[in-house]
Amino acid sequence: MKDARPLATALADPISVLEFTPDDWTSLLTIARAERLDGSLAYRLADLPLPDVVARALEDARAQAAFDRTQALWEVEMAHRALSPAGIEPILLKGSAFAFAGLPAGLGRLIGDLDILVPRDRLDDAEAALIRAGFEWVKDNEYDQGYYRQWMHELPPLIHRDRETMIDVHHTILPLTARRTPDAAALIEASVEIAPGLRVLNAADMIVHAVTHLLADGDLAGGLRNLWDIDRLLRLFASTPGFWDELDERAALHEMRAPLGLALRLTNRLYATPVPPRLAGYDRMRDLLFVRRMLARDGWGRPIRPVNRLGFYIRSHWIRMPPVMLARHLWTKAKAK
Amino acid sequence: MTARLYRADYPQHCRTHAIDGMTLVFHRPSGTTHFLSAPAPEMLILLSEAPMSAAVLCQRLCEQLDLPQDDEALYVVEARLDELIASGLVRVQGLDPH
Amino acid sequence: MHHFSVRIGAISYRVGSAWAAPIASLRRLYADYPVPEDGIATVTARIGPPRPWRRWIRPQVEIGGDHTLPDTVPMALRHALLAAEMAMNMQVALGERRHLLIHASAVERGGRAVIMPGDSGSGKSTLAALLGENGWRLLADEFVMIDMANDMVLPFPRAISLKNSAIPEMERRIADPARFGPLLRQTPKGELRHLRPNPEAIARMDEPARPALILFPSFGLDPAAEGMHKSELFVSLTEGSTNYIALGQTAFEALVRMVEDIPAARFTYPDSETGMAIVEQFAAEMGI
Repeated sequence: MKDARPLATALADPISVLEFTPDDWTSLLTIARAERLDGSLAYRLADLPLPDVVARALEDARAQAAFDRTQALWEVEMAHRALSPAGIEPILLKGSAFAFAGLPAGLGRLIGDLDILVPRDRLDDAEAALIRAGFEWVKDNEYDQGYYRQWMHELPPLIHRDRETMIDVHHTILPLTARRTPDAAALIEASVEIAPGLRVLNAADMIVHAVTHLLADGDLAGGLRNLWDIDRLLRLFASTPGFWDELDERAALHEMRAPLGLALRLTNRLYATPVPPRLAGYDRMRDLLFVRRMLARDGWGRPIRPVNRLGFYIRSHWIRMPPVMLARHLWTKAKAK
Repeated sequence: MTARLYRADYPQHCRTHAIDGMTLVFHRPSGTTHFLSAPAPEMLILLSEAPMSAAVLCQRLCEQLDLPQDDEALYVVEARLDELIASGLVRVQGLDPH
Repeated sequence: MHHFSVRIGAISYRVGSAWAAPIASLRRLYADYPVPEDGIATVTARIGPPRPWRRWIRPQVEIGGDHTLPDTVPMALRHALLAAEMAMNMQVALGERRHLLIHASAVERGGRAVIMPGDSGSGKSTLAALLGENGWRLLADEFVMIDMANDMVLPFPRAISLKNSAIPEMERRIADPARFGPLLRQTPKGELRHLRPNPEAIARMDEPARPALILFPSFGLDPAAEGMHKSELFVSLTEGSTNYIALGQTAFEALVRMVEDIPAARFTYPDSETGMAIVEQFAAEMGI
């Protein structure tokens, strides 16, 4: 395989794997693991007649996903126990939200750290409550702490001293330095309670957040995985009457209308997600660059197209920080080495 | 000051196995394995019957195990409670006095 | 990418390398091993330069594959075979989710297995290699795989990495030079040479064995042996397992059965002859 396209195709159209040669299977498993999509793939292909060895490998990927899910739900439970005495109702984000809410995007999905959103004026209380419950700073030097507190959209990451799990406490969904400013109060206001004291974003905001995560936050690493979330969520939410109009409104409110259009075009291109052209807009030449970047992995799971990758790395910092700050940040980082 | 109440849900959600005078516990919700020595399993069973404060728990435990009920016993119970809370096997139910 | 595929027990590998020589060494070392079932390797290990120019200029080898650890230190190209072996090990240590892994060597006789857990330096690999040439069948030298459906040991007879004094010791006992890999000097682990298990271990790699005895060897002291508490055994086995936690309740129950059913002991031994004699003595008591 020359890039990760067959993985995207297998996810969107599982029947495509029935034509696979033995070497194709080996490459597909490797690429899926490199993109951390092996669990998702395993669930997508579960009902197909597959070679025994492949079926066993995918069964193992599902077992791993089930373990990840147990751990993620337990972290939610422990965060809830830590925060509820302070009267804080965390809004679960990303993988933990999908798993807790039983959304199809959570099926087989890798769940890393627990990400939660709390109101900005409750940030200090949340921090204190988590530290009481055994969390500690990962980065305790003054510059990193100051950097996070002044400019980022989250507290410096906290790690639990016994469980060694991480929690990211966000007060909004993009860094304060980013040129777009989502309306954090509106996100919280519109959030939905899914269990006593636990919340998730509403459907449209969940998509907007997934888009910020895909495009504005990070260098498109894990792009296929983040885009797969968007596909799974859209296919579910689209059946609710009025969903697309609401998505349009919420994206505009959060200053994410153009990135949303791009994400819709990309998920349509890679996963054949049905999207309304009115929101997606017209295909652009630049879309192809994003597609190339997201598929940039060879049959051995190695990253390819380094020039394209570097461009995206600079771009990701550029989006998040004004240039003078970027220089200052990179300088401080360089001195630290 | 409101006393904190504690509760447990044991041995529901657990696989347990007696070994060398201790209790080996696999706790399904967290996927973790614990080795419990006395009086932790006894505490968990009492807290699963009804939520109670550390003082009440200490009293019930001392009666059950035929131990003198003193400050030292309470100290032991509180220390073990902290560990059990950290592991997630016990949770606080009721108002925080702080 | 130069590559080859091989099946070792339950694991079907594809191993890739940016250089041809390490693959040629691996092919020689794993001559006579079967190819993957249906031709499909499901685990990929690879070695390559950490930066593109490191392929040619002061070449360095980085280990990689489906599962990697951050911050692994690159090695010199002359140790590429070791790097490839480490990459293969890493895939199993980090990726195996079907069978319970125990950090141990194991040998079999009459269908019954002796499992020997131990840290590196305990001599567990050397003991297993020696026993494997003296009436026992080698099952594994580093990772013992337990099939949790029936508690059997599944053979994983990969090449044994002999270190330092174990190298001349095995060279004296094994006449066939083709079974040895190249001697690697000044590796991070000292001198190192790989040994292909004997033909019987390879031919019978699909034949499981019932675990009958667990012995924890430690090298370098006066000969002695002592029993172990079941709780101590449980803790030791979980600490040495890289996938116990991920396998959840199934692994918990399998380990509980193991510690209840299988006798275990520790022993110390000053030299290989004594070590082998102690294992034989324990085995005789168990009627193995």
